[in-house]
Amino acid sequence: MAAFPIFWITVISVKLPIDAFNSNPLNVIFGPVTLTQGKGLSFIDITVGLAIILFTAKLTTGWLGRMVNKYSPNGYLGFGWIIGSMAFGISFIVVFFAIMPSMLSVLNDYAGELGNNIIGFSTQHYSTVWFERDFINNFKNSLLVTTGVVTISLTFGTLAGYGLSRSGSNLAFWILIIALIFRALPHSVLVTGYLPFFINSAEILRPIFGDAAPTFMECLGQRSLYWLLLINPLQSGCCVHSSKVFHLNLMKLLEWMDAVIFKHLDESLCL
Amino acid sequence: MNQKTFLAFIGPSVVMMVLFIALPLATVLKQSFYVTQPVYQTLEVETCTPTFTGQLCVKEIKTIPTIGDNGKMITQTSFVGFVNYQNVLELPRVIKAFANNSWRQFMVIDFWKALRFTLSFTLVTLPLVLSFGLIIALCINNVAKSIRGPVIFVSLLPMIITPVIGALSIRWLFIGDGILTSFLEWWLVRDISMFAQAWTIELMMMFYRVWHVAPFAAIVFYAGLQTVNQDTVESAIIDGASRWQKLRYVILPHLMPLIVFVTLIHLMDAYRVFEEVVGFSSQAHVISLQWLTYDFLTSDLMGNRSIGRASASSMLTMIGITLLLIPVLRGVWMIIRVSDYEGYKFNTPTNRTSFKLIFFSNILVYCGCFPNFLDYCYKCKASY
Repeated sequence: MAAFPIFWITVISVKLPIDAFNSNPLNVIFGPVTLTQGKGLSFIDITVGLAIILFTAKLTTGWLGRMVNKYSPNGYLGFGWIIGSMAFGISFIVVFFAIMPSMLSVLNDYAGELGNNIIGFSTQHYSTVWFERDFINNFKNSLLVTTGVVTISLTFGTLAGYGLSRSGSNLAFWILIIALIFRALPHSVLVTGYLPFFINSAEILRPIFGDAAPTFMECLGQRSLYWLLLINPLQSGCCVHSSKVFHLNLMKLLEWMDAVIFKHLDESLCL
Repeated sequence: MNQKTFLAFIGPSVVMMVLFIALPLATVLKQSFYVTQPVYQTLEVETCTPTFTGQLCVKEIKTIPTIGDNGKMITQTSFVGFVNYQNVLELPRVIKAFANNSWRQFMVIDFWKALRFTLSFTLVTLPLVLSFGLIIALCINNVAKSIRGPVIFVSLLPMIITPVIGALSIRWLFIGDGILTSFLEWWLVRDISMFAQAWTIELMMMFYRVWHVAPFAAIVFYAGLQTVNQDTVESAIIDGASRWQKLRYVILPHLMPLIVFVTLIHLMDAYRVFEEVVGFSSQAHVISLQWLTYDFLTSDLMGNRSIGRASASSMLTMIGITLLLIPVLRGVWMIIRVSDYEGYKFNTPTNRTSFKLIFFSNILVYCGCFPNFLDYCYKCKASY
């Protein structure tokens, strides 16, 4: 039940709309209309694709870790993981989306019956989104916001969390209560507070920038939402990821951190 | 930790909280008492159109916004007291609706409609999130160690996915002849359109929220299940406790602080419901308080935003969430006082006060505060 809607959204993303919203689930999965347009996967395609995915999964869980441990310089293990996983990801994309399809198309021609398409499959929506609708810009925005949120929230939040947890004073208590209330604020409340500043930013910044003073709402457009990234860490960061390192065992801590990071990722990617 | 170090630790956060949350809040409060409007002027305008016989001129009196030298409308801001609040609350219409004894008339007023939905959404999803979270956590805990990793990953998927996409994925199961709608039609042998009336949309929104948040509750509870005292569990089993009794009298009390924590977080998050309204395009039927504020902020065709009313509705939303949180916050406050006064001596599980003590202090712990205090509680519990 947890995975089904996500699985389903993946399935309908590779079908033409007439198949994707068909009332019969089997039609959605096999995509007859998509198939009649010559877009589909053959038995060989599916087998090879699944094999490559499984092989990659196996490499990721074992080989990648060993290679990173072996080749990253002392004390730079985290950095090594970043480089390693990026290289791994890029080579997977190259193999899976460039080399594999071209080889399979040749293979399908020679395979006879096994090379005939059996499941409707079309990547046209993906190419539309990536190449015609500038998905890369949205992606860049999301990455920027995510990096900002995670960096700021982990830095400031962990500092404050540690400070609060080691002090039993009244002040700490009240800061906690206020932080909790701040965390509960709907985002639109803060946007209401920021908006007049964004609209009038040209007037406010004129003494500093002269006539070139920017109006955030106009020139930055969506980017003015970056300011929101400063809300997120403060709202959730300060209070949630506590420095309860000493009470929780390591596994629990990792889960906590994961949960917090995931939360930030998803909140900020939503922008 | 001395005062100076403490301040150094929390300083950056406090400065940023003041700068980016407290100050905007203050401006919101101020704006809620002001209205910014274009300055209008009444002009006699003569419009002439050429005809065969000559000119046809019409004189009209028009009210038009004054345009300044820079080509933009001149606006003025004036203090209006509580007018914005009146405009949001629309009390005369409320009174009229009550006089007519009509719930329906009451529910067409935007603010009350939004408040009704936000509150029912929050309060209905809360028990569901808690119970499903607990069930999932127990399932994960009982699954074989070898497949526990993949099971956790799959059950976490709804939480990882971004809210709007999650909402869309549920929406597409139901919209039009979506597979679940056709399944329901086949099952109930009748036509169903899930997006034609408010209550079905609300059901889907609640379903989505439970689906989205239950994994979070589950992972928190699962973490809690790891620390259940095995000695207590064993002695309960030896005493002949059934599975249900074990859950009710050993595991649930242990998880209680986490249940309160999840409740707190869920109250906060559900009260600012927004993505569901966008994802399910429910604006015509169902709106939430945050969406109402957003709607006031959105500019109309002339580029005007009703920032005054948005501020008023923001303030009302804030008052609402504070009221909702007061019971929990008050509990926290009481616990601090009690602990100062009586220490941690009366820490027997049968003692209600001590129960509360553990109950609320854990919130603080999971919110990053007062670790020493909790140490005592745990020690006492262990010694008991």
